[in-house]
Amino acid sequence: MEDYLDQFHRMKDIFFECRVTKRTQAKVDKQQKEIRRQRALIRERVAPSQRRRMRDHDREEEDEPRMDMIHGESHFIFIKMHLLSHFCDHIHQFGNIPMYSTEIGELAHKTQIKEGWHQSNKNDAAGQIVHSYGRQHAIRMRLLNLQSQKNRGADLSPNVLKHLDRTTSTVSPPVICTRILKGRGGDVSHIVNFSRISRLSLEIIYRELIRYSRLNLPIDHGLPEDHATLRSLPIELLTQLEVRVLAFQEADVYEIHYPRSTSTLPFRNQGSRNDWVWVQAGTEKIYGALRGRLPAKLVALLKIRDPRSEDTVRRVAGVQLLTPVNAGCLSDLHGLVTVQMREDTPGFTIVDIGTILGLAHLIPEEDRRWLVNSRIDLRTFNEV
Amino acid sequence: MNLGIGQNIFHGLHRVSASDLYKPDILHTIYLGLLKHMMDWIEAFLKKHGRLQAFDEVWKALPTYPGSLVPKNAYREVTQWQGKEMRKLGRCILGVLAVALRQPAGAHAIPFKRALRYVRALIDFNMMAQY
Repeated sequence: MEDYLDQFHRMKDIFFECRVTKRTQAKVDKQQKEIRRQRALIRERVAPSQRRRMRDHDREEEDEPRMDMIHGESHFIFIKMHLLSHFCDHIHQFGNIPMYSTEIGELAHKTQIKEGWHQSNKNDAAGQIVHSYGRQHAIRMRLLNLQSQKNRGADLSPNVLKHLDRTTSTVSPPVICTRILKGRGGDVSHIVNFSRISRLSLEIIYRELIRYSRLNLPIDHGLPEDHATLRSLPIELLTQLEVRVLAFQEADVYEIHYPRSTSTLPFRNQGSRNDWVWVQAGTEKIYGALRGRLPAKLVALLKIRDPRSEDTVRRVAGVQLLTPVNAGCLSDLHGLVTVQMREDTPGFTIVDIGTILGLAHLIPEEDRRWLVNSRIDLRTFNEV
Repeated sequence: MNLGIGQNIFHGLHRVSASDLYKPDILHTIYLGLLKHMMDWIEAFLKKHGRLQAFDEVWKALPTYPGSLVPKNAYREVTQWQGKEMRKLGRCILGVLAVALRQPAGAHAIPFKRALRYVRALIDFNMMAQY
């Protein structure tokens, strides 16, 4: 963290010119005028052919004192620049700086006063409010003290131990990683309809379905491999996937992401919408900083019903996988990974919806190239 | 139960008022402080190097993300910035700037590099502060 701050201070002088105050600007202008006046005195008329070269030369000559002046006069001395240096110490001592807030007083109003008021019997409330928060605070302190004593191996009475276990034990709830398909989209009942809507050739869809089945499904429950049977399977096209993503540094709090995919159909009467998602494409070792995950464009969400093996339903997603440039190394310039859509890779892959990890944020760079924005939230910042 | 609240250490100090002590504050120091200054500088910087148009285009083309803004207007068209919007800006600015400053020509390469390093350091500092 100190490194970042150090880097920040070393690089800031690139913006010197933007810190110019009006007074400095006036000084600079005056200096320029002075230089020009002196020059006019010395120099006689020049031939027109040489004038241009002369002018360029003059400009270069003027630039130098100007930059000197600017660098000498402007500065980065203002209070907010300095306050940052205290952040590091604060974090070493007290942990992270709470995200939202801001002034302690405003937060305190809620926890200390409003909650106290709710717990009081509204009769002569002021005293109760003061006591209720104080009591809670003291009990919490006491529990923490007991806990640390227990960790240190002090012998406490069994009653206390039992109570401690009950109040501070963290029983992790079962991890729910469900992905739910939502929203019926388009009039699709068979693969032929789907092929028409998604503008993909039947050949590609068959090939990908068979590949998916061979890789992911048990042999006796796989999808049929001949095209005629595949064609007859009832399928449904859906538009929305609900993915629960574990919130950063939490064990039981989830954020819910809704990647949408309307294939080529319009979304809310505007152009089609196909969101970027993260797909687990391999082990942690590959793709450099992306650690086995690839950003992909979600192009279709399908339910395929297989009447031959007990009416099982296969939930799959069609994605366009992107490949990392430079084997997924972070750029030493901006520290982001660039991904591209290669010409030679298949543009359509079928994956299980369980491998979709959540939404991704990509910034379009050029045609078929994107930057993976890893600063979009703390979870992504941690993972990439 | 025999519990009570003790005195804060600052209450007894001479000439110190506990309520006026400095507290690190992300909103006023980073979002509305340095990020705002930084955006002024970046704007002037882009103007000097003629990349303002490119920056606005990338800014407008940002995709959506939960809890993030979808800018409808180019950066310069927004006149008022709230703390929350500044936070969202902070999350996208590095990528947007990286795209806007791509493929620098000759003499621009070094200032562009330094500018990107600067922005990256500030954004990472901000992320680490909340980590």
